Amino acid sequence: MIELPQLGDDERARYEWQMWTSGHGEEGQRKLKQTSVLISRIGGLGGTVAYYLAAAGIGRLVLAHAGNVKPSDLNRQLLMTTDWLGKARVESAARRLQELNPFVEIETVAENLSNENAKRLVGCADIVVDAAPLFAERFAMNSAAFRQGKPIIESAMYDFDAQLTTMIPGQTACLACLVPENPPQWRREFPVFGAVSGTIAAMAALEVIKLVAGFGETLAGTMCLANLRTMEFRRIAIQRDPNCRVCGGQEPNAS
Amino acid sequence: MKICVQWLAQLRDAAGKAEETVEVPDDLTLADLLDRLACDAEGALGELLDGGSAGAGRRFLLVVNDATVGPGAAATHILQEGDCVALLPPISGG
Ligand SMILES: [Zn+2]
Repeated sequence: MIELPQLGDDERARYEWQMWTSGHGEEGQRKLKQTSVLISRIGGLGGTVAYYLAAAGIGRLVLAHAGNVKPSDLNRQLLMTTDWLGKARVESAARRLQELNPFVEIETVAENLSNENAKRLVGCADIVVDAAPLFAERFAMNSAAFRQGKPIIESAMYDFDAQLTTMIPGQTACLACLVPENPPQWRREFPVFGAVSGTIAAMAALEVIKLVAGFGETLAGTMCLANLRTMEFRRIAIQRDPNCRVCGGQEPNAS
Repeated sequence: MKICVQWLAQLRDAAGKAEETVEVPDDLTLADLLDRLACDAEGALGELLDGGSAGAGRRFLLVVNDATVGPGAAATHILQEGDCVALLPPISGG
């Protein structure tokens, strides 16, 4: 058992109100400080997950996202700013997160997840957050996370519909159980308000916090379906596919 | 018997409604229902449901009441009067 890192006085002051939370306390806070999280894309969803995890005092964030800030990012990608248009997204994100919390270690990778880098990037983290729009990236992350036994928080939205689940390799369905093939009708650009991606992102950040600190109940084995247009929330049970091309009949090689 | 069909995300847009009640024969399987829905659908919804149980059934998450049914199990999953079947297209982050 690795000893948990200690908190300094400045950190205790910063996290004081959340350490009052039932089940969290200083031990939960030290667990957060010990944890590394990889976030695949830091747009409307992933950027907001990163912001809340940085605020909560996660130890280390690995942020993967290619490309530069565009005007159409700014309705939802809260780590991007107008003065950063045309410059690298990951640098804007790192700057904003460090302004919020200098105690968080930030590693940036100006690449999207792919079959080439997924093993290495997932290997840098204890937990991975999938906030990528393209299924090819999500499948690459899912396979690497399953093989390495790393939990994945899967978050997604379309218009006012949102989905969230936590996948635990070997225990719950993986992404390929639910989406066996690359959906031909999915387009990278889709209707979205920043408050929709932000809502689901805040819930995704809570999944990470509960998973790490070990209190409450996560969505593992279930999926939250939210219709934010009508404010209907449902939680459905999700089944593993015994013939899944990634996890069917396989055990994760958890380290 | 009566089954409630719920359309989610892009399917809701294509169907122009969130749900409908369909009258089907007793002992219908989930795969049969998908084939019937694909057969009856027109326009944008018809395109999305193309292939019925062998097509749309593999592309969408199938939810009966409060649990998913894997694409491999749709052919043996017998529906009951009053079941609520939701079809959920894969959506993604961003
Ligand atoms: Zn699987």
